[in-house]
Amino acid sequence: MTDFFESLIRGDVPAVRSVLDGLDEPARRALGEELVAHVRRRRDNWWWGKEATALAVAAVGTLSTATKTAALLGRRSVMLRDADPEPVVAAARQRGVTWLADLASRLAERMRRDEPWEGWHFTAALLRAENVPPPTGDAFVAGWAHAMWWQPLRDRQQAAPLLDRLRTDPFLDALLPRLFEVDGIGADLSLGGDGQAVPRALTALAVEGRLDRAALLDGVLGRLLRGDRPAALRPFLALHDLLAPTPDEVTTRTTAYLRLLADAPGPVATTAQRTLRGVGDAVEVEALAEAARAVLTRPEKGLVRAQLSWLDALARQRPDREAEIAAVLAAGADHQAADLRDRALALAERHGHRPVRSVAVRVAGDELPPPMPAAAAPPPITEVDELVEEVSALVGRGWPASALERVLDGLVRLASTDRERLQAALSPVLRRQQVGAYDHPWAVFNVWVQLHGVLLAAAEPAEAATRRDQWAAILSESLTRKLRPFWRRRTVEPARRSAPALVYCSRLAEIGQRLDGRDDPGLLAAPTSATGAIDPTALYERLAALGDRPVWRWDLAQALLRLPAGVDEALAAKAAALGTTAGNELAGWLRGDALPTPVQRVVTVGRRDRIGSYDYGYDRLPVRRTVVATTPPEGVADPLGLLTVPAQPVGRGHHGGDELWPALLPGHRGLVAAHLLPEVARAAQQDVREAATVLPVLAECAGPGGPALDLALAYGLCARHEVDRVATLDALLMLAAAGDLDAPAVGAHLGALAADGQVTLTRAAIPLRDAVAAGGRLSTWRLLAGALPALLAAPTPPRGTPDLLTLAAETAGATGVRIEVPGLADVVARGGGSRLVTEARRLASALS
Amino acid sequence: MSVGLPTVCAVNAVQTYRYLQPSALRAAGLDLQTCGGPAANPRFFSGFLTTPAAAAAGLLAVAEVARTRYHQPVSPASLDPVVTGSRDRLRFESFSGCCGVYARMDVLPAGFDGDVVGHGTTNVDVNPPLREALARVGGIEPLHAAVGPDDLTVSTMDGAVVEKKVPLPGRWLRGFAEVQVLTAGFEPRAEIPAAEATAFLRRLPGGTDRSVLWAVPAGRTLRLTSRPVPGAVCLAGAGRLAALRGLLRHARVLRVYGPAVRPGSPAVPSTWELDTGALRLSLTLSPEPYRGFSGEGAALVALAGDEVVDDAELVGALLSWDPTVDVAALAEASGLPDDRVRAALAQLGTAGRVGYDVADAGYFHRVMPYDAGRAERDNPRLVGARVLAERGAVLREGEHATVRSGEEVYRVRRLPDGTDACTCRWWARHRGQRGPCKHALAVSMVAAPAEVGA
Repeated sequence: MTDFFESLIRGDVPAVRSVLDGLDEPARRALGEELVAHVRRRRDNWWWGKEATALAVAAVGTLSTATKTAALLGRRSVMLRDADPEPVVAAARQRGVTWLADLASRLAERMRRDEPWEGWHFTAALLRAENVPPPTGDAFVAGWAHAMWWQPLRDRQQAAPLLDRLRTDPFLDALLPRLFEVDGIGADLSLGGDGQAVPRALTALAVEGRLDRAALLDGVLGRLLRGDRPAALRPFLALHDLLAPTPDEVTTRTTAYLRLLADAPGPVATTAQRTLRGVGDAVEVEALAEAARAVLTRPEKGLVRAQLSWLDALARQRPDREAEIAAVLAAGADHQAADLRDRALALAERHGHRPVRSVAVRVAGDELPPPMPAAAAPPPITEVDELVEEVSALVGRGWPASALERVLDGLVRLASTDRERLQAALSPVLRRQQVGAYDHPWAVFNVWVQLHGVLLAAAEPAEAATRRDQWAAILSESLTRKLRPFWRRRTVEPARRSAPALVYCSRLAEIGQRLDGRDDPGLLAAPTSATGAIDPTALYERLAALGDRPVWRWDLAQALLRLPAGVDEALAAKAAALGTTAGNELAGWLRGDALPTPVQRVVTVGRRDRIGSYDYGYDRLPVRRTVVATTPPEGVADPLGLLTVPAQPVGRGHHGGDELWPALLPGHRGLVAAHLLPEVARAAQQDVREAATVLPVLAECAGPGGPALDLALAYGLCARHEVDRVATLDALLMLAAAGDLDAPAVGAHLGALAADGQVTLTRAAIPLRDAVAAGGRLSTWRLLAGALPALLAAPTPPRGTPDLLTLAAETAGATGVRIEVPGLADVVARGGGSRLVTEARRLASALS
Repeated sequence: MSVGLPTVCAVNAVQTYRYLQPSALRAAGLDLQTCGGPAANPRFFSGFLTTPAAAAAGLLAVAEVARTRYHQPVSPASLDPVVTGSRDRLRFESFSGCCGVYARMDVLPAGFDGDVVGHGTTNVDVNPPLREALARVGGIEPLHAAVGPDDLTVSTMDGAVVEKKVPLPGRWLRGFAEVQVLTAGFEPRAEIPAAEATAFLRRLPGGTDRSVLWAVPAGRTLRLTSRPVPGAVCLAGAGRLAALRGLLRHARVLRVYGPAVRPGSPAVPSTWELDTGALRLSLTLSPEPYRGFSGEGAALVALAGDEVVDDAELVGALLSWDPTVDVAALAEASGLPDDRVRAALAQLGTAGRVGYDVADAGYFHRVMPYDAGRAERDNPRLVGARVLAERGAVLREGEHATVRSGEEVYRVRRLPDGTDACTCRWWARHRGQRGPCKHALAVSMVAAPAEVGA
């Protein structure tokens, strides 16, 4: 029988059939068993096309029951989508198979809802050949929906138009009711063509009388009432419109339409509204009033506006019900859109409703909860097991700066007091997490590679020996880049690496050398606050406790960088009294010889140059970005690049290690913001998720703000993702509560960015509205007053400007604080009924 | 063999629903069909729903959760909601196919006019025609409703029987049980009027957004924030609250419940409840969309011990379909102290024999029509821990322990709050957020070193 299986593999259907023709029933059954074994053996084969057809012929010709055949042909590796059913039916007829219909229904049961086309045409052909009613499972019905627009290749040439096919479709009557029942099937229906072919064909069949028009309409309404994803409802909505229900048909289904009007998704509600309004006064006033109350709270403005005008017209027609309708109209006075609120109120008053006007209490300032001080750093690690758990939890999952510092601090202390237990506990964890050394010239200044190196060294003394050279190399290279003195020193070439990489790698090299020590008291640079900051007194105490033990240079440098800005003469005197070099360094720092303030400059940069003829990435870059470039003040050396932020074109110069910046300089948030600004801007300009979540961290840090922080907040307000906008709002509120927010400056940047087309202004309305709800109304008003001049001065004010004008009017009214808005009068003077002018007028009247 | 009883034979079993006829909304009223539980097709209620539109919207929401997978929605879920008839309360419950959302509608005494004629828990059929009919329910006229077939239907049982076979995954059962344990630690965090709730729910990110956000009260409404602060409620995968929309129009207030959080807390579960005065609809969300409640492991410690099981048997026998379980009364009746009664109730929760109602801050009697307890006892972590304990892999050293598993050595450390930390990769990944790892469970199993420790 080898040629049989060879023909099978070749997909030679006539050859397979001719072999079968020559066999009697027992021989066929014996071959059937071989066939099953053959298919099982070829488990890595995909059966499709002619091969699948040949397999189906062989299966129907040899296997004894429908169950066995369905099990064989229903395998995932057998794809019947383009199998030819004709020879299969012929083979079955020739053998006298009685279970072909059973086979078809079993295949239908095995279909998957997410790929209903798989094998549908084949199964359907078997059903048609046997002339039996079709199965009505979800997947089979979905396959039917697919088949309306997708025909197998060989049928496509002679494929009749959908209307003719449907008219003669034997499945139509059985499957049509299910078309309205299966969830999500609308998405299958609307593929292909303009997505309306099926609704058109069904309507035509209803016109011919082939289908019952009332059944179609009820099916559609039932589907719309049960709801589905918006895309899946679209073809049913189209069918509804094509059917164009007559007034009589609508009148008998008023309740259904009213429910749709109140609760259905926007497009469905709009259709229901239009349909109901078309039948005039057939709708009872009570029922309409109930639905209208729900409609008037919906966010779709068009729907609400139409409902208001409908109610207005109704009130004129029915003077006897005017008061009732006016009360419904008044329900619209709570709508979130100010123009609709006004309209609802005006109409309600026209029809005799006298609303109770609430007197707004003016509160001139923000009402924000007092700022919470940043949390204290978690207690230091005191035992080996805890250290090992931390390492195990953090390796490979990213190291937040605070966790990194805690582990490093624990590591130096425990390695010098409890070395053996540390080794015993740490090495299995590092092995399980597959932490390995990665020795490559590029990896020398990679923080994470160096961190793994230090961990390995702590776990294996032999590993420490191999890494010693590299540590020495790192330290000697960074020797020329030591932090101080800032003034009067030979200039060094600018750093090629980012400051976090330089500082952390140097510190890690030091820590590696330090692991051999005895009774190490821990890191000087271990933060005392969750932001990374160190309390100066705590640092003084650490230095005092140090006695004459060695001071590690980079540890001390990092510790000094983490001190808050400002002069503390009393503590400086105490530090100087220690008489040690480190004490003197601390004293000098506290007396003002600290990190100098850089010179900051706001620049708008363009894109990087195009690379080559085809540069896909280039076209996706934002055209402009406003950044802050900083340089060290005159006469100050900046060997580490802490004070230097070059104005890089968009798409160039990303260093990584961003997550380490805030804890590197926790007392200089303006400077850190300048370093991180290009990344934050990506949240608004390049739809990057969680790029602005650093802003609350900056808000918790200390130090002066400046243009970079203001710009970062402006970008963050226009971020693409909710999580970023929410983070920006948090930062905004924290800064406002602490009195550190320069709201007019943030607003001015927001206005300039939006007027320049750099950001999508509409996104800023929600976080700003939330800021008002949280109590920051004065800050919001000042921010908006800063943003509006640039927006109003733009040739065409950006989309979203009217929303901000509304919010400005509300906050100006609620605070009673008058701020001049340049350009507002010009817009008001333009006149007309555009939303921009209406809202500008509202603000102008709130200010007068 | 009684036909209506579900067949749970293995962890991954098949549930067979056998309703005498489909549920339907007829001229005579709402007729919900039941199967399983105390009888093949029990009858719990006959009377009127006083707020039919709201009850219909709530029932639709419960059914929507039952047939949805919020995470990786490949195919719709297929398990029917369950209904519990207890004294003066009807509760409809469902659990999403992804095991991450738990929905419950409580019909309060104000919500119905009639008698709960039978007590117990059973499956209830919600089919597409019924969903359509429920969506049409409006008006304020009380609607007649029956839960369970009347005698006439039972006696004239003909060919209209509805039979469905659907898979009953072990993780689904475990998750359903786990919710009760987790919500028992919830406190009310916020209450906002329905109008503000509508605006708040509308502005939330849509179905595909998986970010973890937090909500805090701000004025009359809630505000989203990016980090946990005391009083905040976690909101992860906000699209999962979509089922609340239908009832919003009828609701008076939205209440939010959650466990206590502090700055730096990881994502936690939360409950969002709409109250119309006559009924309450609550959705409980898992900490993150990809996390089913089944793996949260909150019940594992209780199941690792034996003494709680005995208490649970004692307490379970005393439950009597009260709408809320009175701990003090149970303590008196059973002779156990209050805290042991509470532990026993938690244990009964994992077995699906009580549910927890955050609004009443108390357990309620409900016996799931599945054997939920077995699934939880067969939790892979517990099974693994039992093997380790039996092999004597645990070596205790005071507050620490060493667990040898094959070639590997793990260190388990007791934390000040009574939980355990471990150096295994599982713990490293979840850091105690999803309950103890199998090594920590094994250590707690050999709590008395004399028994198994050697």
